[in-house]
Amino acid sequence: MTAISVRAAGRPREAAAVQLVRWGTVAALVAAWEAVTRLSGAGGDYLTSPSRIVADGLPKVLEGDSLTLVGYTTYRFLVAFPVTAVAGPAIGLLLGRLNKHVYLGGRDVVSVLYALPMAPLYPLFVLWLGLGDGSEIAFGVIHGIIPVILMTMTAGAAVEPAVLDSGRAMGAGRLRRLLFLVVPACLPDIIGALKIGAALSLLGVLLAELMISVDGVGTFISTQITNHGAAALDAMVLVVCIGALAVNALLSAIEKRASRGRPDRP
Amino acid sequence: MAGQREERAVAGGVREAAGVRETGPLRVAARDLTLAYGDTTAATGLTFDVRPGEFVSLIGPSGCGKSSALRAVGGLLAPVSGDLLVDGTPVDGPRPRDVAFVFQDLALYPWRSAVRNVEIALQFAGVGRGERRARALDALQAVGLGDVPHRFPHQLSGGMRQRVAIARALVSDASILLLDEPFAALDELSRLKIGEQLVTLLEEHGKTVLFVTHSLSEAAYLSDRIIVMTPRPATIKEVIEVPLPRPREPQVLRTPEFHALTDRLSALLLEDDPGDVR
Repeated sequence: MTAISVRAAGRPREAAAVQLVRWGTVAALVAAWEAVTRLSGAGGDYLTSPSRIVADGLPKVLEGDSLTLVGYTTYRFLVAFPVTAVAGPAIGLLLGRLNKHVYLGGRDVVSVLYALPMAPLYPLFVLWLGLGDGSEIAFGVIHGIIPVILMTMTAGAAVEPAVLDSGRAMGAGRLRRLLFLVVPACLPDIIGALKIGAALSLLGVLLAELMISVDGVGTFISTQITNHGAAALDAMVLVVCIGALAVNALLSAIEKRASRGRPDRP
Repeated sequence: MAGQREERAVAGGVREAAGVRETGPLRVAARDLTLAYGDTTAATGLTFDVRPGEFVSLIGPSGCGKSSALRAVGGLLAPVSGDLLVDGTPVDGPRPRDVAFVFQDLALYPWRSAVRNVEIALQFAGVGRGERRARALDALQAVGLGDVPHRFPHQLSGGMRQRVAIARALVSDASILLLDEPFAALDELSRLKIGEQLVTLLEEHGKTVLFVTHSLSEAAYLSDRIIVMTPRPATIKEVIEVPLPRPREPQVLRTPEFHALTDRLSALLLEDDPGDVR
């Protein structure tokens, strides 16, 4: 949460103005989209309007077979993201706090991995783990975990030395300093990293399903592209976006709670 | 305790070439300490004592190794050579039961309320939840913050944050307090006022204090003895016994004895000043 939104939230009129701008922007974009598709005569197979997505596309997505595909993807994401959320910060904080050389060397390696395009590597996952859940979940994990490691190791390395020294002076060993001081000190950064990690884990699962898969949302999208089913395709994208926003909202709520009492960040 | 201090101070004005007086039990005894960070020597040949109930200040140029000496006594920096004893036992690491530390930037945890910042010292000591909350509230009460236990550090003034840090040091019942410029963020008058309140509080709790400061007037106003250090690598230049009676009131700041003392401290520091502050 930004400083502006926190302050605005404390004053009802300003909070209402922020909400008006936020939702007004979304409404304006949707209205412009609707107007362009109607006025240009575009539509049908390639570009469709929001009203057609809701009227024609959504029913196709919400029917039994399609929902089963959504279920497959949801299951894969719900396995991949928790692995990312636990292993990412654990590895990141370990690399960030073990010692200076591990941090500097590790940061270089993880930065290079972050810069690499992952998609061409997916066939290797299929070779190693076979077609199906295993390779798709693993690809979701690898897609999400690298930025989480990078961000949390940076946060871990940046913990004020005085915070750790004070813990030592109070008799806390390494593990207690990690759990009671480093993790809470880095918590807003960890949750910020997980918000990005969640989006990228989902992207990894979807990419895997789009590239080599027989089920899941990716396969549905791939089929709709082949069949020129723009309304159903866009409706499925809408469902995915709603799911991603729900996860993001959940993490934002956790972030807000974790940031309770802390000064606003600039 | 105050009586003892006054007696000592009346008989004081003694200047010693080294910070050692071999009488009675010693809380801290440092003998020929050399302190270093890697290849950089921070201090060498440090020999000084701190007696029970004493308030001893370390002053010297910036970066001369005052804080390093404090960290060594606190067990956070292992000496390269020399002997360092706390209550007669060699220091081989932090000893939170005996020694509490207040850091220069206070090291309060922004994610914890005032009471939980104080409580954590007891949490690390293995004290149960109920007892540590009660003791933390008592400690906050003792420093005058009994009415704001649930405020977070950023919701407190600089002086209040400093008191929370003092409360955290007091709550563990350690007999020795190491204070590393705890009032650095305060203006001169506030630091003297809070400092005097601190001295009174520490006397009530029977604490021994080793105090690092840059402020000559703060050192003169609060201390029983002042250890003057040379530039890095620090050695002890002189130890001065403060000839001012206790309890001290702000009026003491205008006395000739106080001015003579701060002039003396200033002259000692200027002797080693290269004169090209950048």
